[in-house]
Amino acid sequence: MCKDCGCGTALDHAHGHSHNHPHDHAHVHAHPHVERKTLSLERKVLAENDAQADVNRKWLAAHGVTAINFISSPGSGKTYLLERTLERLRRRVSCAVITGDQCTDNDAKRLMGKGAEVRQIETINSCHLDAARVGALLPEVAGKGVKLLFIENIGNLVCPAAFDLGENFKVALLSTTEGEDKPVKYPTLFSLAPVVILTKMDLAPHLDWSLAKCREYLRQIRPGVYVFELSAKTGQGMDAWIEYLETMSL
Amino acid sequence: MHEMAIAMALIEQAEKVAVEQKAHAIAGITVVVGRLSGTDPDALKAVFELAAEESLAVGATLTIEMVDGRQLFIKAMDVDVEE
Repeated sequence: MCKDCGCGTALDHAHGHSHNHPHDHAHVHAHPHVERKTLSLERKVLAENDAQADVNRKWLAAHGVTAINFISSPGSGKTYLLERTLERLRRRVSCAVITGDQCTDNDAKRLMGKGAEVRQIETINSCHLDAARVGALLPEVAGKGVKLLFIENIGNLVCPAAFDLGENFKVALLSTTEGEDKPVKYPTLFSLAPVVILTKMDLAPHLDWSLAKCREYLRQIRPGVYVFELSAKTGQGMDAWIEYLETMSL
Repeated sequence: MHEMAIAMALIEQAEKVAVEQKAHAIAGITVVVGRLSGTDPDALKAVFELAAEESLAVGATLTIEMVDGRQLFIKAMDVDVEE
């Protein structure tokens, strides 16, 4: 062993190393030198998903598809609204649907037979759709002249908001039975959605629910948010919604 | 709760950085979490250790800095590099 630096003696030096003492013999270091480095970064945690979302966005743009990501609580009426929407747009605008649920293809069954390609994603243990799962379905579901793609996300006001799917925009649904203050309770989603649909408006007269209060909460979280008030059941407000979608598909 | 997905993505990105830096271990990760990012810091901490198993970040400490906004990014990493 070298008496000055404690390194083992051998014939070669495995790596560059500065010594402050003269050496008249060659040797190898037997001990590894481990250095702890602190790296300063700004690396997005969801970089992988965001990159796939960009791939999806480019695919959609190249194929002339407008994709809308529908997010809401379970039971707010996403599927029911989509059923009525597909019926109204049938033979006028070519539509497709990707619908996500933890389990079952119940939603896909409800949406089929209305002139649109429909695919179900069962996420099993995941609480949200991600860009990879949606991207894998795009060519088969939205490849043939589709103008509007509805992505019905998992019913959840928190997790789906964090994952960009490459959609053109998000639409948040809020049913009257959920109360007025969901926008301030779940600001992440409502700050990201430029369009909000208030559903089950036909029930409003039977509930302690104030449209003025609800709109005020929505404005607090996203000033300038575009709000539709409708009931897919009675058809109230559906004309404006359908007209809006037709404009989107031009 | 999608924090497991977030934690897995976090480990994936951290390992990419470590490989770029030729590091053989990750000792610590500092993550900036926006209050509007949809990520719960306690839930992320709870699943981080499990997500780090069998990765270069096994046993690493996770430090979370909360900020306003939607950010969700790795701000710093302590890595071990063999000379």
